[in-house]
Amino acid sequence: MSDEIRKFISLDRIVGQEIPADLVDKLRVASRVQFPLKNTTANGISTAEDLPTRDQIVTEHKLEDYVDHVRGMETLVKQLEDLYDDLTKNTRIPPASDAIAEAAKALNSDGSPDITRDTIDTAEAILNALPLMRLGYDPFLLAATGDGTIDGPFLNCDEVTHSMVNAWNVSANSDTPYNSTDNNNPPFDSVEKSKNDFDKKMKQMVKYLFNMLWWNLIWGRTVSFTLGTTEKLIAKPIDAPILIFKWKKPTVDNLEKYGPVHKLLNRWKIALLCRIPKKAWSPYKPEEGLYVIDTRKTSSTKGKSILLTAFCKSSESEDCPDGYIPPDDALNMADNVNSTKDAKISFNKIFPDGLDGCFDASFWGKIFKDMEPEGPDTPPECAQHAITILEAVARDSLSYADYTNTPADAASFTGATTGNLGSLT
Amino acid sequence: MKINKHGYTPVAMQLRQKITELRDHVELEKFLCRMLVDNEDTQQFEQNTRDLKNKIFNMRYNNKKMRNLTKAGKKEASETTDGNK
Repeated sequence: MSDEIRKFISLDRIVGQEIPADLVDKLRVASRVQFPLKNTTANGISTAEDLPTRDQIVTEHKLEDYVDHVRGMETLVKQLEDLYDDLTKNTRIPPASDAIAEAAKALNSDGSPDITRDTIDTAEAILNALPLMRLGYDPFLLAATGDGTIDGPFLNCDEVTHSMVNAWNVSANSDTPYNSTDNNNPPFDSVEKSKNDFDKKMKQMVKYLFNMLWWNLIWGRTVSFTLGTTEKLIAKPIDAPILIFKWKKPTVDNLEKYGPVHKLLNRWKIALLCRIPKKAWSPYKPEEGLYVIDTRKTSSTKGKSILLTAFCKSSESEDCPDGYIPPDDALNMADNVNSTKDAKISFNKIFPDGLDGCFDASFWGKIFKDMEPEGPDTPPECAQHAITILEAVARDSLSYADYTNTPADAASFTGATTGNLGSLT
Repeated sequence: MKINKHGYTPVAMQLRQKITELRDHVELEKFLCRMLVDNEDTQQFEQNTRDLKNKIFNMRYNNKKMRNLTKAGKKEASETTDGNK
């Protein structure tokens, strides 16, 4: 270890000092700097606000560039979707088991046991609509429209870092063996007292070091895991980091400062990691329920299945021969089926414009068929079918058994693989 | 030569989830653009979302409340208010 490094890791050279800008840049690359941290009262930790490179970021990303960037992304995604369509349009996977055949029959409009592209699309659409199916409403959609909130309580990041910084400063500035100011005691006692104080403060520092490690490493992973699991269950992943903080419009200034939105998303994600449930602060461990969903505004719909019931009825109705549910009819259906005031109010809240002419009855009819929620832990039957189908497709695409049933098939598989490899070289 | 199995290319099927996630992401970014800018590009964004086969995005980003958050939506709202005066 070089002397320079030794000097650098010496605590008395770090504590209370600002981290050099070049080191901050390196840390930033390694994602070890928490950008959303506000300035604390002490100067022991530099924040992103202090970075000299911020101006560079400001000039790099202009609004028009951002729109161009998004347009390019959309074109790319469209190309990928077209490619996917082209490569999978003739899919017809024979059922590998009775369970798969039964699931495919349930989802296919023609009752066929084979898995086709239409079956896969329907299965995906069912799982996308799962929040609506299970709760009768989508909490993230409600949060997006302002009819519901997903709320704390959370601790501010400052409240964590402030304590840490204070601890470091106490260690650096108070009575230590190196800068004792207690001149009234005899030298021996003074040394002994300082030694005890030093030991005590070292233990304190170790404790805070562990706390810091906890908050920076383990807590983050815990939150990420919890969020990831929750997102899969409740909503599309991309919504969660934004809506958890309620909807907040990014300002032009922010956008120019931090560039394309994925950077903003990252900031929000990091900010989320910094928002710690108050209950978790004291024992330094997360409590169950990282966040709570405030359903006060939507409590009337909780546990009911207003939308799905409406759609179930609509799929069986002969009122929509063209496969289209007029918004007013859909509203009436919701009202008639449930015969409660709550139903219509809730429906209006979720779809203030009605259904905007978007819904295709044959498509949604399949999705909302047989999906009365049976309880929070029991997915509707069609969701179980959807999962069975998607798992079967994944298994089929990862296996090559059908190429190795006979020597000729094996040769075909080998030849195809070789051909593919050859095309890459 | 592509490996074709039961009428499809397995690699494409394995990318299905990733393509879905990309679409989800790009739809969000398009909406954020619409919140900041109102021009031909962002109007096209809105139309493209409307034309998507998967109507969940239209439901999510083109409903009245979300649209009111966009630049175009605000402009229309202010014009309506001025007209009423």
